[in-house]
Amino acid sequence: MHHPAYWLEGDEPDDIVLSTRIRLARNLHAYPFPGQADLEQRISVRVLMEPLLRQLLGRGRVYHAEKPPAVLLQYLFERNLISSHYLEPAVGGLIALCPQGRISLMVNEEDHLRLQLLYPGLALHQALDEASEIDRKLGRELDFAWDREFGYLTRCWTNLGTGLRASVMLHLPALNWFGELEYQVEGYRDRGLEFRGLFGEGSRSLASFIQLSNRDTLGKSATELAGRVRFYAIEFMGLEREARAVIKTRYQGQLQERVDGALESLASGAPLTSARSSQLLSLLHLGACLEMLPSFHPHQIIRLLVALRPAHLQLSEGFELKEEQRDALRGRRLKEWLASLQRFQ
Amino acid sequence: MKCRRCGIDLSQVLEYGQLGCAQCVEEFREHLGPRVALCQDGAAEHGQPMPDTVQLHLARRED
Repeated sequence: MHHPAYWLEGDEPDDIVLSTRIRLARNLHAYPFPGQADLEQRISVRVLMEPLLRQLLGRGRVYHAEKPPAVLLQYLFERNLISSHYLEPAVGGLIALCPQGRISLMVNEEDHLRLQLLYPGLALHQALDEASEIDRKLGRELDFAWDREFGYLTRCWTNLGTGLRASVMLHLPALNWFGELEYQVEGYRDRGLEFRGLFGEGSRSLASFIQLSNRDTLGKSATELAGRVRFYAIEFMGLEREARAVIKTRYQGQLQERVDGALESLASGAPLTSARSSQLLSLLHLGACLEMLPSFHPHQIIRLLVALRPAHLQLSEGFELKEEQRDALRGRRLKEWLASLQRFQ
Repeated sequence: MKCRRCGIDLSQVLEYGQLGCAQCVEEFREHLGPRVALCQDGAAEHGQPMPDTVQLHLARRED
């Protein structure tokens, strides 16, 4: 339970593109889509799909979405393994996860089936290949709703066609430093891209983390759509690297001041909200990427950021914590982490 | 005007941009086309099935 999420594994993933996500939405031809289905129909869809998903995932975990405790669902959400849909009671829902946490399948979410793959770094085509293979296997057993004009049929028009959402999680602190992030994001919106926060739909951009994905799903192939996201992800990487180089050559003193301030805050062990700790760690990540903090490994900072999220903290302690207790624990954990790094300096 | 299979009303489909079931596209096709194209404004080739989708679908049928 406490190992890092699959997308946070590996020693040297990219320090700008943190993860890649491919999501395919599918529905069964014979049943009303979840929003229109009654309870009996939703349960029938789950009964139909559950054995297939168990067989597909082998030793993976399968949960009926109404059963797990809220903190476990929140934990899966914090790891981007499930959508926020399951944070509310989702009767008839099912969550299936492969042992490594790379593949997750959700039944009776907005669509009958949501298949999702998460990879570390920039791996859109690799993830798409694996998703297509799973889609093909499931498609041999299930009669997916499909139309000659609209492709795969989904609950929302925004997913019609391929049902594909190809996304990458970017950390862009240097662009944010120059106040360029919002400007750049606005400039790219008319290129068929969508920008969301750290936790997908409805989440704001938090501490320079941005999820870039395709907006259109119809009229182009899945490969083309993923290719477009990859193209712009690389463009953003270039912009961020340029901005980091400028900071390093012209604003290193200012960054050092901010980093020192962040270290001081963390060393105090004072209570910290999740948002505030994310901002401080984002700053340290930038400092570590620019080799200003030799004993800090950038990737470990991102892992820590996820490990300090509310449900992660509660599960690591083994009991429920109120918000103030979580903030206090977060502050103490960060102080201990800092002390452990300084011992090795 | 309601879908004969799932009962969703066309006005609801158009207001929320959501389908009720697979049959909705047959029932409301003439109303959906332009609205979907507007929503998927990057879909320049709207009306043409996507190559990948068609290939996958046909491959599945042949299996």
